Amino acid sequence: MHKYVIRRLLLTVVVVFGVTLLTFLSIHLAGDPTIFYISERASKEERLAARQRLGFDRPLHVQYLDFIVNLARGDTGNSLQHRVPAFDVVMERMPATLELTIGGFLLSTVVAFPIGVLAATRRGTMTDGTLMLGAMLGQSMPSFWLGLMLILFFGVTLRWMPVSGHVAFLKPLFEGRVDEALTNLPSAIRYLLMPMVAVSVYSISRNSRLIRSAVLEVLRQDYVVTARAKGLNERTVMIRHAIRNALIPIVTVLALQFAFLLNGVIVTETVFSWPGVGRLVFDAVNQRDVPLVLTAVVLLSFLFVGANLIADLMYGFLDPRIRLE
Amino acid sequence: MKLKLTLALSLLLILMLGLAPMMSSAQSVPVPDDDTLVIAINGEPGSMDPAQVGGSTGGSNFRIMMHTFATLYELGQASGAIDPYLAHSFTVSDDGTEWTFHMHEGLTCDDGEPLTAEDAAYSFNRMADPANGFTGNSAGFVVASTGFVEARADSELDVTIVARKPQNRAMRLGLYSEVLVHCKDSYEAMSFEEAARNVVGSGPYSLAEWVPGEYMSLKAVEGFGLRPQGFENLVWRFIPEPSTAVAEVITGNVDIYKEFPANQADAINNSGVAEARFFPGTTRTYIGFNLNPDAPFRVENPDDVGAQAIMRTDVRVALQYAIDTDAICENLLLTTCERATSLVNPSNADHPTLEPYPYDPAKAEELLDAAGYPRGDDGVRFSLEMPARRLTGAMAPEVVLATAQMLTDVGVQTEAIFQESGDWVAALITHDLGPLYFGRTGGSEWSAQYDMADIPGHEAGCGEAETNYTNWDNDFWCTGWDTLPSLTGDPEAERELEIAMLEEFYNDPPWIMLFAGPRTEAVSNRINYESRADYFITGYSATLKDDM
Repeated sequence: MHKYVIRRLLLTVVVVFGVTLLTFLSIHLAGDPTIFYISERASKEERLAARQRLGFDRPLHVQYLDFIVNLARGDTGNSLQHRVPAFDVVMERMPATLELTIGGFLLSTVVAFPIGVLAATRRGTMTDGTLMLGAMLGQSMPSFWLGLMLILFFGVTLRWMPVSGHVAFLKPLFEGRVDEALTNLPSAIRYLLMPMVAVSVYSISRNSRLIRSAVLEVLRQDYVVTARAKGLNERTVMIRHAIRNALIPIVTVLALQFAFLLNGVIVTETVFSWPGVGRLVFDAVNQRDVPLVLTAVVLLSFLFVGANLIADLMYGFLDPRIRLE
Repeated sequence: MKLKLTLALSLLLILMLGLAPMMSSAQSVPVPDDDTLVIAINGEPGSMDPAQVGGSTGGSNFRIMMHTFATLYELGQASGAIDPYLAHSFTVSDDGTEWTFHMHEGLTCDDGEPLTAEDAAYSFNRMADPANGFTGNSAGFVVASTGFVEARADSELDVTIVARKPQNRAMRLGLYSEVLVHCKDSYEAMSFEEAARNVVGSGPYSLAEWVPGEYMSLKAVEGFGLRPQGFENLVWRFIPEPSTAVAEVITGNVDIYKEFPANQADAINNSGVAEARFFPGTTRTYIGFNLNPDAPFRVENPDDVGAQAIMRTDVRVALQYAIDTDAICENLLLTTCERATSLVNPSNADHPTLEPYPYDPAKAEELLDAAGYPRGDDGVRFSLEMPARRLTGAMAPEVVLATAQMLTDVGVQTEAIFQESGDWVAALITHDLGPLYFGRTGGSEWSAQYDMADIPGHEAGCGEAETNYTNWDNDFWCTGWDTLPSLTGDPEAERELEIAMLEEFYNDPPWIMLFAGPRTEAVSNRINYESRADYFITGYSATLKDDM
């Protein structure tokens, strides 16, 4: 197990290397970032001088290796827009993104599970049809539109929820201000609610359909038939034999779902003025803020790989036959 | 057992979420009250260094920093006014290159450091020094446009700013009024990183709190007597999505929001808490003809009929008649607007007699036929691509699409191509955007030459000059621009030449002239606030209504 974890962590380095390389190339393929950091009145000479100052005059491989070497030293360079260390800028926003992602992940899992199981156990009934129709609608709804509708209905018309904004919970918690975090918690949940729903509706829909399929697949297995033949009640059959065995494919998808949510919060963060990394990266890409984009990508890659690692480790927990070596 | 535990936790979570709206809560951002004015803006400042205004950090920091920093003179609230501020008067040398500003006594910065002419000189020199690497409006536009050489303190209260050559007075005064003055000792003690996040200001408000991604809160500086301070606190909320900002206005959480989408005016007015205002703005909206012979679309496809056709003056004139700006303004922007005759704002010192090109598609077709571009069997004369951005207001996609359709209606098949803002700007700056591009550019109400500066003269390279995105290389215009500075001593001759140049622009148009603005602004009913035609929001001038 330990060896497996170490090997996976080493693989993370390769993943980060690959992802940063692709991101780096994509940004530069879109054109010279220098033009975003000079005056529109700058002469060609001034433009060249700025390129030199920003280091964009060097060959691309030199620029990239420079970033990687500095990254290994813990130096991600200064954000070109913010003029402060890119790492600090990203970390400032990371807690807000984690709040939204974790919230969305929990909500989508908690809601999708009973829906999927219920639909599977009532296969072919009106309940199944209604739930799956709802799931299809949820998958078809763009989160941008849904976010605005939530604002319009719950924020503007009913005035039950705040239209936009954020109350920090994880940030004070990470900084050791536990009392402040706990004081903020009710407000933090209140502000989180609508963005969390907007970001998770797609996942709820997808996961419930997946859970339904996984449970249906297991229900056809011989051991379930045997369990029923033994005279076990349906609840025991479902909980002991069906759902647990259906969990492995579900966990795999849920781990990927976490990464999907992490990437998908950009739109939701924009709609709800949520001060997260997604919005930051979106602006940084538009401004070709290379150090900031790369730093955010590195940190998000770690989270992505971490989520997948946790999923892998859970296989062994869910099915003792699986050994991680 | 584990499953039961999971289900129990799930129920607990659902319960918490359900109860959350009912729980008492700490406010995420300050809300409007008797002491607090809340302003929503779409962008967020990257840096609050007073020398790094606009540019890569977005213009949003200028809107905020004009509250935390003062200037020698200021672009006034009233249309076209440039008012004294840190300086009460100025004198100009005989040759027009040296401007000496006489500053008030007893000024200080936020930290109590006396603010003198030395600080004003330092502010100009700091932002202009290429070694500091500042970009944006001050370090870029102001330095280049004024031909800034240096600033020096002649005495404790007299600062002289030296330029290479004379310039139209209103133009120069306005440009100098865009340089934010800051205290030398405070800023010399800070690294660039520190200056980006910390403010030691000279204006009516000081920075109280900055929550990145959320808001910035300013507090009135005690004893600041040069400008009003209608509210004790000014809060700038960063709300990127316009519809969300409008929702915050409607729910009474935001007092001022400039540039709301026009189609949300009814929602604002019907809310009973705010008023939707429409007024002519200074931002000029146009369709540019890219005349750059080396532009990729022209080099890579030399047989492109459309790209070659727009190189001809008669074709560019013909296309002026194809656009119905009245219909666009009334139906899409929900207001009326005046069609421009040139690149100068109609509310500014535009050409006094020229009539805007009327909407006359038949005339457009007639001129295109005469130019040798008849309709083909498929009804198409030639095709053009028109890159644009997805913005709001006068740059909204529906406006772009409407203009493309109007051009298509006269046989010039025009395809609007929406790009990411970054890609669009990158191509614009390198003069590669086109053949047509849907654009806008800032403007002023205080100087025609400020607007005309988009296309500088031969000395600046004219056709290839950096801000001349069309690469328009008109000899009369370019020579005229270089001649204007020598006429500053003779305002009549200067104006005569301006008018002749604007006529040339009209007759050999590098743009399809559309309109200036219009601007929109949502303003809370609880405040008195005069909307500005330009980009700025002077929150300090807002006051609470007596009956509130």
